[in-house]
Formats: sequence, C-alpha cells, structure tokens
Amino acid sequence: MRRIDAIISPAQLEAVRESLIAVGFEGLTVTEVFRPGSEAGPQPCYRGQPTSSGLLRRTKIEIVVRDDEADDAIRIISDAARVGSDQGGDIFVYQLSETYRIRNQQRDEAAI
Amino acid sequence: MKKLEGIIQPFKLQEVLDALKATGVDGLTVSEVKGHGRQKGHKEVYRGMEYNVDFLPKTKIELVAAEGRVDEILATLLKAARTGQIGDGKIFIYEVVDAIRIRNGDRGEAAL
Repeated sequence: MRRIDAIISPAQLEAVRESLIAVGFEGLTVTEVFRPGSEAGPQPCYRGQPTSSGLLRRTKIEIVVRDDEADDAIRIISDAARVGSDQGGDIFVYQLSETYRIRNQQRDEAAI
Repeated sequence: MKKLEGIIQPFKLQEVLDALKATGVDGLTVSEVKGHGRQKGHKEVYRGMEYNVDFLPKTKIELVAAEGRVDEILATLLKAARTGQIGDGKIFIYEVVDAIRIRNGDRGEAAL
C-alpha cells in the first residue's frame, strides 16, 4: 500500500476530488497547510505596511491506494491539479506497512 | 520505529487521549482535518433543500512508537476509537527511518 500526499492549490480541490472519485478512489483526507511561495495579485497589508510571511495557503490531500494503483492516482491528481499557470504543487509517495479499519478491524487492502 | 496515524471521529478524541495516556504514551500530535471514505460524505436537509456535505470533520492523531510498543498502542487505539458505526476512521502504520530531537540532536528511539 502507498500513501500519496499532494499539496495543491485550494481552488483545485474540488476538481481533484471529483476526478479521483470518478475512477474509484473514494476516500481522502484534506488539511489546510502553508507553503513558501509567491503569487501575483494584491499583497496583504496591515496599516499600510506590506505584511507577508512568504507563505501561501495550500491544500494537502492524502489518499491511500494499492501499490499497483499508485501510478494511476498520481497521474489523475497531477492532471486535475495543473491549471493554467498553476504548476500544480507537489506529490509525495510513502510506503505504508499496515492499515486498519477502526469499525470492524479489517486489515490492509480490505481496509483501504 | 513505526508511525501510527489514526483518522478518528472528533468526539472520540478525549477518550483516545485518555486511553493512550493510560498505556504510557506521552507524545503525540493532533490535527483537525476534513475528509471522507467510501460513503463520500452525506446529504443534509436545510430549509427544505438538500445539500451534499462532501467533507466531514475528522481528527488526525499521529504518534511514533518504538517497535516493541506498536501492538499495544494499536490495540488501545482500535478499542478507544471504535463505536462500530460507519465513519469510525482508519489507522495507518508507517516504517520510520529515523527520528531526531531538535533540542539536543538525539537520534532514533532515544528521541521519542
């Protein structure tokens, strides 16, 4: 099993989620994160002084898939996350050793 | 070392924390996340209109444990987080390559 983390633009969350569900990747976890970066457009100001921590709001998506599904999932996420000038962010893949479903203690691939 | 990551129901958090404390776990990280599994959220009715709630609030617990403690902690998590209903969540277990305590540079299990 692999866990895939994708850090994408919040605007693309819905598109990525829908394309994942369309091919049968039905579960995901979403967290709001911040990443260093710069963006065109109005910069945040406080009392006339530009205030920027240099961090942009991003959305982290985590999904867990079987080993042989990982390439498909990565391709689907990158296609849906890349729009216009937005490069689509980063994807990280981890090896997962065990998975449990809390409700009934199903294990591993049955629990995904 | 292994990392245990549980995605649980937010209202089970206190019970899980108490149970983990009782087994001697004293370091962990909790984050508020959103997500869904196979049911893909649920429908809610507000003023006669039906709405899809895509992302349900969930709580993520992360902790790293020495190899010999993993089974005990896993059993505690499974027991404390369980209601038997859909939505109880999942537990993912990862192999951890190294851990470092930032304060003094302790490595491996000494850093836990």
